[in-house]
Amino acid sequence: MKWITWSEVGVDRIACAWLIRRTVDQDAEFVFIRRGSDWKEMDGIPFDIPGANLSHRRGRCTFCTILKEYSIHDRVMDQICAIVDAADSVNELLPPPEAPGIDMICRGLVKVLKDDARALEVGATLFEALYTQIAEEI
Amino acid sequence: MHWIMLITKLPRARTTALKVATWRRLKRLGVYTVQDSVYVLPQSERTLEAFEWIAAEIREEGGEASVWETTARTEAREREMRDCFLDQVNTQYRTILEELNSEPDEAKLRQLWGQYHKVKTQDYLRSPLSIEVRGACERRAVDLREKTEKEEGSSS
Repeated sequence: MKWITWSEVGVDRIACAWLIRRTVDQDAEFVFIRRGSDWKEMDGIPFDIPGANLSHRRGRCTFCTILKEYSIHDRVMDQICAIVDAADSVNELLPPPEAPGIDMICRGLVKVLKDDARALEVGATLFEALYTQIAEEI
Repeated sequence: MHWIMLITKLPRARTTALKVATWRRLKRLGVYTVQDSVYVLPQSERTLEAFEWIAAEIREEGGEASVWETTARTEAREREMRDCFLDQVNTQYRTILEELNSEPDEAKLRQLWGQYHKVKTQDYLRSPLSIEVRGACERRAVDLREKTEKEEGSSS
């Protein structure tokens, strides 16, 4: 299945792509489009694009939407969700301490690698590491 | 300088919750308000993304919103916007500096450090005061550490 998102991926898109490949669609193929370009006629599932079904809901991040939409119940994922939430949108009251660091690294990935697909790959390792560590400490 | 502009029209029904949510997000971003429902931020991927999400949310709730790239047509307006963005962070930085001058304890210093990082997310034009606040925080941390070491040294 093709999955469409905006290029210059950051924390939410990287985390979502990792989650999609890990739990929703192993063979997911990611397509990157320029910010603001038309996606409604495209073949595939758009995610984390303003206006798409799989995007921010009630001020929470797209990662959160995907967890809900695909009924993924996993305590570790919920914690990762809180991290992405704080980095990407709103969670002013109780931001997890990991959030600003992960946000910054994710924003830097695509700038270093100059390629969205590569940024998702490296980002996936990052989130897998995060998952492993949180699972150990939960 | 490149600016981005958000123009909004909230839906008449169900306005209050959306109004509050929108207002809070705009406040957190530290926007420059041109006039009612017209907001400006310096252009970057992060600010563009933030405006796009706010606009999407307003449209979802039945309102109207659009995001534009824009430039100021007069030097006066350009200056006014720059000053606005610098002033709003500098005021907050100065408040933190004043608190640091009154020798805060560890808990207070932690709180100020958190506050500093919050202000930094709105510091789009990179005010020179930022470095000053960071330095003052670090100096206070050293003072506090030396003080505790001294106390521990004299009690043992």
